Amino acid sequence: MSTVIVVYAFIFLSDFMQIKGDKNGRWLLMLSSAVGISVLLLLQSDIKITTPAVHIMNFLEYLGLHY
Amino acid sequence: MKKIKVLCSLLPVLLLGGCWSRTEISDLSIVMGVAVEKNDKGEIGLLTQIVVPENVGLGNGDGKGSGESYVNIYTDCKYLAEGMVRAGNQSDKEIYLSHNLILLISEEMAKEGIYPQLDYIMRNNELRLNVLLFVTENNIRDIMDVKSETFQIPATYIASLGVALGQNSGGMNKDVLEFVTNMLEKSNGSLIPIVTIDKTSEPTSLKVTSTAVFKDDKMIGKLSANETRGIMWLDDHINRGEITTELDGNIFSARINSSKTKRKIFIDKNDKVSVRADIDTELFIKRDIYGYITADNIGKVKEAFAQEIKSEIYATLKKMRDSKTDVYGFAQDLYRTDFKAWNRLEDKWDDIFKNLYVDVNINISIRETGSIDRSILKERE
Amino acid sequence: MTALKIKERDFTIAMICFLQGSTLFTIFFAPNLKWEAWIPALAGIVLTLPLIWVYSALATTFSGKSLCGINEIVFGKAAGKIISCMYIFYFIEITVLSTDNIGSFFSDYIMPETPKAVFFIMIIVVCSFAVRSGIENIMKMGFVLLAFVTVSVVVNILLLANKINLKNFLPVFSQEFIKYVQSVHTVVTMPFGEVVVFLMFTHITSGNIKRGYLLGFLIGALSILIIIIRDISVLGVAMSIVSVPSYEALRLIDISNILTRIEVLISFNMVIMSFMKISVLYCAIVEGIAEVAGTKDYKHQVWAMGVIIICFAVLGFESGYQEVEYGMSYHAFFATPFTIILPIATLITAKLRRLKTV
Repeated sequence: MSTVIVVYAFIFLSDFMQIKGDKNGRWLLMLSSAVGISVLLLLQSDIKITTPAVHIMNFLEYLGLHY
Repeated sequence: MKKIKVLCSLLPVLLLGGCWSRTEISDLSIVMGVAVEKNDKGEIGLLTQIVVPENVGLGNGDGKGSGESYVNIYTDCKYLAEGMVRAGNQSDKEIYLSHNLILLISEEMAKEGIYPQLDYIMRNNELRLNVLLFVTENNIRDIMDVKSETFQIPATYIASLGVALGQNSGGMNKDVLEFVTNMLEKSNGSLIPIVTIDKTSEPTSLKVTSTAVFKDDKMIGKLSANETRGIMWLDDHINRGEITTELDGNIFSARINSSKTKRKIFIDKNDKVSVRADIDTELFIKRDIYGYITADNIGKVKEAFAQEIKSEIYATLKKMRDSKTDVYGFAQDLYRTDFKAWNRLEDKWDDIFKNLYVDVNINISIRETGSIDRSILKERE
Repeated sequence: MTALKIKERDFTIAMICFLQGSTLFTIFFAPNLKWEAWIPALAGIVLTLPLIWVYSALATTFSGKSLCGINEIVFGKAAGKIISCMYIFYFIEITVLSTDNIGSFFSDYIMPETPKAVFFIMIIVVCSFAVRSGIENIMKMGFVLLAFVTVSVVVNILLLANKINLKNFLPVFSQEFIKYVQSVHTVVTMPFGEVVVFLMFTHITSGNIKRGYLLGFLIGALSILIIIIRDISVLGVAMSIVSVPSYEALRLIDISNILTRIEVLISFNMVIMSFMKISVLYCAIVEGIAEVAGTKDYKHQVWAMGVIIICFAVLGFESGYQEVEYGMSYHAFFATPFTIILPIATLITAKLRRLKTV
């Protein structure tokens, strides 16, 4: 896991350094990296999470929209 | 900088190149045939035939070993999946089923239903759906030890018998896909060839002389080769084969060169079902020692052959009707032509099948008389 | 005015590849209808044609704008951005599904002991490189890949010729009506309607976009239909019980014991086409995100997005059964707003408000 994090940090930094003079781009990269890293950490932890498709499924089930 | 990038991108190739599922050929037990039977405890006796590659060669010159070119591993198990694991443990290598050719089922097991075994065969990702099915009356340990001059591995020998069946019309070979298709279709019958040890021959060989009749996945009876052909005539499965008939004390023999059956099912307003089969057969005369056939009486000979075929067909049909087993696929025919009628008649199908009117029209053409067209016996008179 | 980087020909070919990337999904509408699975495929093609007209009308009305740009013009800045975000979520979802599918296929059939995550990572890494090099290069590559795949599809149909049984197609229309509705709905939204993603690239495509869209869709969809017909004619009723009909049909190739067991070679075309599909979707995601956030260059976002896709794919479904359940009964409803309702609503609003770009 630590390897993955290190690789991830490396990729993040190299991308981050390349964005010059584009504030939005930096913010966006930070946001998407934050999402990515939190999902990665959740994957490692004991908290059980499922793919968005399952949540969509439950939501549609709730709405009664299914065959 | 660019070089470093290229190197970095090549690094994963080195790391990921050795896949998890990589196995050396020498670490695999390549299974050529699987046989199952009911053992004394009422569980499954599983025999896997594993090829020993170094002993497979041509004659005695090739191949370094003088040992057998196959090993049979026999295990007791409750389920096939469990048995395969045990067989793998016994052989010290990983069982590799991808090259499996046949599934041989003992008669006893066939009578109890073979679907649990087929489920394993179909689910297994290594196996294809074209594994050939056979039933045997003999002990599977004996039969999986019979080899011939041309086939050193019994499983390939049996598989080749199955392929030959298609060519001499002695029966129908059946693979897993065809069998489960029969089970999924509306007709409930299916046929699997029975392979037996021919003890009279020297050295011992294998033969297929009869066929097992299945209703759903359970074996309910047997048919002789001739009776099987009665089904094959109606099923458009006749490719080659010999046919003999008698007329005025002469015995004629002919080779079936080609045969085509067109079958149609009719249903009238009163839900009366009937079947019409048009059979077009081309024969080559192989025996006519008194030179009986002439242009004038060839019609009579044709008629005699047609009667012979008809008697084969009707004899089997009667037997099948009595056992209420629709191995012909008439029910599926009806479902295909008129599924609404089928839905209506489904419950009554057994009765309908019992009284089904099958109209057989045979058109025989005798194309060739062979290299001689007269008989010496006749010329000398 | 943005530069027109993509040629019409490449656009069409990429769409064909994109649709062929869905051949693994036939399982989602096959089990219901068994040997009649070709009916929804054919009906789906006919019913998707009006949708294709809507998509290409959007593209020509708002030339020079991508899907996100169109949304902002039609629905206003804030609402447009929200709708664009929903579209991006939809694209992420189908990318994850495609990745999950191809990874599962590999780990089920070809390398059973390798963890799925390895396949996900490898696929996404390769796609990331492709995406970083730009959509125009992905689309240019399509020609070579399509040539390879077309040859292999034709060859394997010829090799299977002796197993084809035309009786397998009978009877027709023997199932309940609702099953046809379900299957047609699934087909329209699942493989066919997904071409809505190409609206992200129409603004940089030169040539006649209407023609490109129509040709690409027709050829791609017909090739799916041909593959389905091949599978039915070979497998028949058994079509309903196998997990991957195309692969199972290919495994039956056996030309007198010599030309046999070649399905692994042929399964490469599934991988190639999936690569095209995932790359195009991936590109749409990062370009869409960049556009919504208002950044100039999307290339720096690629890796971060890739990690999210891999994570979602690894999370996966609890089991294959759940996945099939989702694909068969739920996904159609999830995809309907994005493939059918929103594009039509956008076009109607645009026509009513007489909006267009010059």
